[in-house]
Amino acid sequence: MLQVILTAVVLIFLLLVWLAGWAWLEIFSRFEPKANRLLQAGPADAFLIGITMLGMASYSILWVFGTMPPLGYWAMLGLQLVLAILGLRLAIRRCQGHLEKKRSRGLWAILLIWFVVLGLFAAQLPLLGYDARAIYGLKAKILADGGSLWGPDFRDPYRLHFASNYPLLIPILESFFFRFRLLIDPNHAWCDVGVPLLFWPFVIAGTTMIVENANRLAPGWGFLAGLVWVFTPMVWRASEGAGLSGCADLPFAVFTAAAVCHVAFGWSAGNRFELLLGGIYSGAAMLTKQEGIIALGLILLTIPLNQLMEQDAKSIAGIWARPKCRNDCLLKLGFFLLGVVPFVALGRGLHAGMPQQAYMRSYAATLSWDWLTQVVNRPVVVLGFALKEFIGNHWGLVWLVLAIALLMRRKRCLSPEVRFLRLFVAFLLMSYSGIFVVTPYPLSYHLNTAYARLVLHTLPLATVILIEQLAATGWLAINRSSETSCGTLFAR
Amino acid sequence: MTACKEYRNNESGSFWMCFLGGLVALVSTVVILLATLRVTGIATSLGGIQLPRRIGWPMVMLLVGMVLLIGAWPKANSPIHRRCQSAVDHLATLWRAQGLLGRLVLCALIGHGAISLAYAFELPANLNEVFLERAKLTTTPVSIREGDRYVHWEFFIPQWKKTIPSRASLAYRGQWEGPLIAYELYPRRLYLLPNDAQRLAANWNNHRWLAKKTRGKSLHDRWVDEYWFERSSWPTFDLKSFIQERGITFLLTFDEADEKTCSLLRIPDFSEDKLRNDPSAVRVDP
Repeated sequence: MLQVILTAVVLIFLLLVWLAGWAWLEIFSRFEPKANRLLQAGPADAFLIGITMLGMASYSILWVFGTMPPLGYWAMLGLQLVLAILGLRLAIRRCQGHLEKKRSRGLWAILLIWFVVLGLFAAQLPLLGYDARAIYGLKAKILADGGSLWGPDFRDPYRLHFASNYPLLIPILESFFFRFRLLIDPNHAWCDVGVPLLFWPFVIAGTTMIVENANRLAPGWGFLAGLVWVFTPMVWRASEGAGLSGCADLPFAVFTAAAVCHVAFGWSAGNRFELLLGGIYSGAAMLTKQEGIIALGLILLTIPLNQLMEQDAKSIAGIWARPKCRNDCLLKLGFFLLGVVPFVALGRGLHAGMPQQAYMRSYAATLSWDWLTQVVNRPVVVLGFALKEFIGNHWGLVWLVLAIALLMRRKRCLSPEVRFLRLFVAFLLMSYSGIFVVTPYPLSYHLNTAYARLVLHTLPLATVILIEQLAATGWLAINRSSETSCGTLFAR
Repeated sequence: MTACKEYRNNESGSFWMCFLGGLVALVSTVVILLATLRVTGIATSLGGIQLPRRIGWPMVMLLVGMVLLIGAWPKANSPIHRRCQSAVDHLATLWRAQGLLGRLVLCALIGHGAISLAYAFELPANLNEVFLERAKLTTTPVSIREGDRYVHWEFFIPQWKKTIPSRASLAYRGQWEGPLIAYELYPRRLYLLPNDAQRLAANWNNHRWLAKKTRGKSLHDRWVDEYWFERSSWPTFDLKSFIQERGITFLLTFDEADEKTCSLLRIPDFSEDKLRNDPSAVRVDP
């Protein structure tokens, strides 16, 4: 019974965060002229921005006090409640408009049933992944217990605390769960049954975000994109690294995908609100996993490269020669950075001084000639492992479909947004492969424990790219005159 | 059946599709029923043959059979049936309209859907397995898997929780189960003694599950640990003050391969010699 009450409390908490997200969206949309406000933000954005701002506010408390006191949790909940009341009206208005647009309500009902099933599944699961417990879960318990970031829990290299200097957004979220449990069921204060429920809304937000972005690139195809993503076993399973295992990889994937999509669209349309959202999500990704810094670097690399591929070198030179164009570009970059910088500051402020555990190794040390000469045979091993991974059952056949689809001839040119997405995914996969090549840890161990999780980071964007490609090839354009039946389906 | 017969006269392909769909659906239903008998515990075997436990793929096959049956059935009386037939017709038309790559994409998408659904139908069984696995780990100290002996740290957790005060600090000696034990034993704080930290640092390659999975290939990466271990600097500590500063009152030793070496010692119970242990990578044979 107590578990049911706890589940209900967690669901109410998540609902508050989602509603508060609408209020945050309203606030941030003030950067854009009234006509464009909130046009590009949907329910997924409301949840993601709600979680991000809750994390940021909690991070700020940690930055100042070094600990999350009980009063801090109550203050955060109070803030969520106030913002939720403000966001409620907007949420109702927006969701009504959203539902009216849906033609295939029956198909959405299937998705809804699937989400309910996943919710029930997640509510009964404990944390199962190694990282979920050793990295994120332990931090969550320490935070919920009022442990200090300046104390030995985080700063003693001999404390048995795996990767104690990792980002804290997910542990902060989980620490709310443990605080609720401390209130409701103090006899089992540190029991983690039900924690994966916190990752369940990321599955839903990811689906909604993919549907919305696929629809923007290929109108009418969003639902298929959502289906391909949400049923892929790696997204919702509880095995190591999968979506409901309690690892931070699913939230990271959703944050990164949302950031990249908003930056791609925002840059093309010059939409400040979207660029700001892109920056904020990029920052959220940095506070979710260390790979966030790679994602940020790649976004900053992709922006000029995409521009370069859009126009010839002469036009690029022209842009810099014309003050208006140059200022326009700098303004757009400024709005993106405006979203990111506070997160970078928080991350640096809190984690920079944290020592690594005594048994961890430094990636910086791998950039030595001596080490690089030792690992010259690794690219082949990494490539071989990657090929095996991409056809693994837990991905379904999504990577195979993508590979075949990319061979098909498009009927329309690549839009700058699609090119942006493709470049980013390619760069991210290359960066991760590069990390595995130089890793100071045994390659076999690192590949087997981390590769699938890292590939998950690219799945939301890969799904959007796949569906856009299928739409662009006119794949569903069939000749209706040649009607056939199931009996002749395989006749030819 | 009569309707199917009439239809067969017009188009024999449809009859066979109808027949095939019906057969696939029937066989799948039987397999699902047998699996239900097994899962509910009514019967585990029939005539000496073990009943199936998994229903994922049989459910997918049942769906495929139903689609074939509905699609090929000559008369569509209800609107839902008509919609289903229309969907199947569209699929068939799509197939015919495609070139080679388009058909490959279609096959791969259907395959993706089938694999995903098979996993999805296994979801209740997965949850059940998680519960059973946890129950097994917490109630039995040892299990034998593929001829190897595995000690369950999960089994010892309740005993350790009883023995160690909730805010106590303890030293951990063992392999990579340590961080998980630290998670489960919280709010008790686990530390590594300097020698044990060095031992762990030299054993990133040493995982039994990985050696099994890679058939021993992972152990070839031992040179990586040696390379970095040689280049690491390890500060020296006065052990007594190291322990006193951290308020360590217990030494917990865990070995996944041998329950006899698993122990929990109070500080007065062990001497400093016992704490000192030369750091060296532990070899595990594949």
